[in-house]
Amino acid sequence: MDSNKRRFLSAITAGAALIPIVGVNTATAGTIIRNNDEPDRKGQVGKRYAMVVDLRKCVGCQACTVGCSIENQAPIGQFRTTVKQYEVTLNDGSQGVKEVKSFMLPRLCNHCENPPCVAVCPVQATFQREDGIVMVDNSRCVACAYCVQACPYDARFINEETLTADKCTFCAHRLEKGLLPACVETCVGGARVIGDLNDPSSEINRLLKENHQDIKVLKPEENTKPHVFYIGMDERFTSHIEGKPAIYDPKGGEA
Amino acid sequence: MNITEVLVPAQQMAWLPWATQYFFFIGSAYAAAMLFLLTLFFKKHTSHRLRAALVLTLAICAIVGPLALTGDLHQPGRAWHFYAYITPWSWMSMGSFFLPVFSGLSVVTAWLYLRDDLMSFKDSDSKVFRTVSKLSLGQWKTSAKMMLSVAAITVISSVSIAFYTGAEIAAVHARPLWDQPASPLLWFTTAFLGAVGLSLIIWLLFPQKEASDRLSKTDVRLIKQTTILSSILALILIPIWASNNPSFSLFDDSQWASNLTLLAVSILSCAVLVQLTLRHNSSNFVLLCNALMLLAACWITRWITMMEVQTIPKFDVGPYPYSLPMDSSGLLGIVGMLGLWMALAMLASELVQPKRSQSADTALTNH
Ligand code: SF4
Ligand code: SF4
Repeated sequence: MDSNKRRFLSAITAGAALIPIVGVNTATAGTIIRNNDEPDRKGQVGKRYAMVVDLRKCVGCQACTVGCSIENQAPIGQFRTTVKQYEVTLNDGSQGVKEVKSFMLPRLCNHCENPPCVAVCPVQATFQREDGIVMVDNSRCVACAYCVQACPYDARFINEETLTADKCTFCAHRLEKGLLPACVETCVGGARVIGDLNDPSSEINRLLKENHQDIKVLKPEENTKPHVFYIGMDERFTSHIEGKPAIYDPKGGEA
Repeated sequence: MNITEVLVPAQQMAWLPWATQYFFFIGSAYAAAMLFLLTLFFKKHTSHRLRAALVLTLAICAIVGPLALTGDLHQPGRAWHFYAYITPWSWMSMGSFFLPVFSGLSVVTAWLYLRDDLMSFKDSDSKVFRTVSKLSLGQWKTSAKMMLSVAAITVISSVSIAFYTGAEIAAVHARPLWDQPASPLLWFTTAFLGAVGLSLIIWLLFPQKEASDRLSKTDVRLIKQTTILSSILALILIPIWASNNPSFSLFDDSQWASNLTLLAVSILSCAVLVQLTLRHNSSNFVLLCNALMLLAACWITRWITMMEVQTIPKFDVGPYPYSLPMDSSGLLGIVGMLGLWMALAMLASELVQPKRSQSADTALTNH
């Protein structure tokens, strides 16, 4: 992981004048920037955390949303994780009574393997640990919101209280103590499973193997390699929803 | 399958109107730098007053722009982190190096160019003017060669600003409307509208007495051609830009159709207005109307392509609601920055006094 960055750095020292040009190529052509050279940015070396969300088990109760808010104290109205809900009717031409169904989509940071949010940060406040968890050092963050723009999943926001970039951390502070993330702990249906992809005997690897034909990630075309995997996902929900919009507060209300 | 969103929290706008202001002022600055160099090349035909207006636009915008930029950081006190943690692979980090160089060069260029005007105050009756006159730092003449080389270096630096500001936003792959060559090109061409508009404002602020204080024929030609060329290029770029939104067609969306119409009409109006009304003997009122139209078009372009684009959700249907707040993160901030610009422009415009313009002109030509 780090060797990529080192290679990149030695390439740019070839000519300081070329930095911007090399920089843009590199940012778009796939060298992965992780900003994790410092020893305190390594995390649990040897592991690769990821999450499986089994949509068949999610009932949309928002227990995870609440659990996360209590654990991580995000300001009211701002969420590190939430469950989006959609109403779905099938128009298959049948004449019978239309069946209305709900579709629940738990959303959180995907801890992408190729995270665009990390590469853009101008002060390297956001970084990816060796265990895959993408973090923000909010004592360094200048809150330029560049990372918020760069995340294709709208997983980040500027925290109104700390005035720095904020997002899901897979509850890294809990994982380090051997606990589960708050959302996994509170999920009533057992839909969220977190685990180490590098451990062949982990529950998450078992689930991924068992359901390998039914695993989807959000926006695979972005080449971000998300590490939140969904089971039972309809492909009409993977990239961009086509449907009727939600009704927000009328203009002038709090966004 | 019909999908209706039931519970989808709206994403807040991440780049505030501060960002629009920054791109507005800094765009006007880099375009003014380029136009100023052009007028220096043709200094026999262009007037000192237009050159002074351009160079003051350059310097004032290069000061006000970065202030607006720090306003866009929610942690402005941490701006020094840019220099403590250098990150060459981030365009924003590169910009933190290009920007102070550009601002510094802009002020030096303006100072060099206006030294003759400063020196002319040394025998002024007013004590204030006599003190200001000391800013010329000596009575030596600015040679034409020195002026040209410094202006040329500033233009090189201005290219770095044009390039990085465009690349910074175009690097956001998650927003297809930004991640395309048409968007930085659109900002670049419309930057000239801002530069001409602000220069006309400063030009109008200069104390005027005689007929020789009017715009020269070449001045008018420069303003006309710059405006018309920028407008035409922008009008070509707008449909290209707008058709690059894969999630829905901007042309079929009523909100966006009106945004695009506003954009196109405002830019077209610049070209038409300048073509029809701008003469070397145009009244100040006509010049003011032209200036305001140009500024509106430049501002609207940035507002629609930067702020309105942020209301398009990356994943959901949306749009996310946004209304301009009245506080410093919204209207107050915009008015405050414009006020600061205006105050600086009013002060600086006093430097170019009516009678002395001619002598300053010849002084520079002879060296
Ligand atoms: S989901 Fe967004 S914030 Fe999370 S790692 Fe991926 S790009 Fe970054
Ligand atoms: S908001 Fe903070 S973490 Fe995000 S890019 Fe800016 S400095 Fe980096």
